[in-house]
Amino acid sequence: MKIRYKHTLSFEKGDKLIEKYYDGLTTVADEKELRSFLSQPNLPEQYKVERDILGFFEAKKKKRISTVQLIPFKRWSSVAAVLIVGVFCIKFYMTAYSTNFAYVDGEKITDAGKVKQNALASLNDLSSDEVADGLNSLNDSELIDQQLSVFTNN
Amino acid sequence: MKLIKTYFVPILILILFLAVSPSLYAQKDLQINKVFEQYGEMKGVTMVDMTNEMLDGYDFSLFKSITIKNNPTAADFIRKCLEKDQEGAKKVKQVVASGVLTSVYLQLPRKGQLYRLILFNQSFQQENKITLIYIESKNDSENILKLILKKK
Repeated sequence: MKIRYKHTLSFEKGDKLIEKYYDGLTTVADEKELRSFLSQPNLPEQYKVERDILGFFEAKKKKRISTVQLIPFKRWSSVAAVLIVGVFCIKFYMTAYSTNFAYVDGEKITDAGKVKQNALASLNDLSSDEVADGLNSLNDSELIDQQLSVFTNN
Repeated sequence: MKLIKTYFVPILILILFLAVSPSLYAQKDLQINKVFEQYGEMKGVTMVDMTNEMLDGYDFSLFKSITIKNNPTAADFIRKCLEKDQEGAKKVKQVVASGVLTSVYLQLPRKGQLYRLILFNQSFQQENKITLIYIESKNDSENILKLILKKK
């Protein structure tokens, strides 16, 4: 049993569209119709040339669309991934290693021992006798006694 | 799928910023940072900057100190900075002499896991000496203050 394939467009109409295409008079709808005519299987050999021409442009159009869609997303994803890795590497490096320096009269010192010496010296300034006396005077009970004594003495 | 693709990169960048920003900016928001920037490399000034260091048995994430001699302008500038930085902070100790702040210890609000302290003192013995210290540590501030209040 032979299966007869029914073409969407008759050969006469197909030929007219092809003629119109070569004359440059086809509209977008005409070209769409022509493409669907030429893309169907079991077409006679006489349409091979037109099929190759319109088939080539169709493939190029599809390739261009897919390329445009993929590249920006891949590119920005890779940039973002590199940035994230870079920042975490920097953060890890900063937290893992200590960095010490001091400036004395405008001159930079990087010797760890001298830097620590200067740091301890600054802490000593805070724990001077003057500060300790000041802090002792903030003892609340003594302060209350002092203030009450003003009234008891009178 | 198109929605995910559109917002994927901006979301990644936002996550990146949120992950990194707290540690980088814990002390950048403070006014006293300007003191270190302006006076740190001048004559008559000693500035120390230490990160992730053990000092006298205490573990500091950041230790910054500046000692300035015979500079009343610097003292006034530091006091103005402290006025702003003490907002929201707990005053552990304060000494005011003749209406002028001469010593203050401030416990700042925590930034993430870090405890923060500002210590300021102006001494008039022998010479006019100003000491300003900024400390960040994962240890409780009370333990750090024990180190500071030891009488030498």
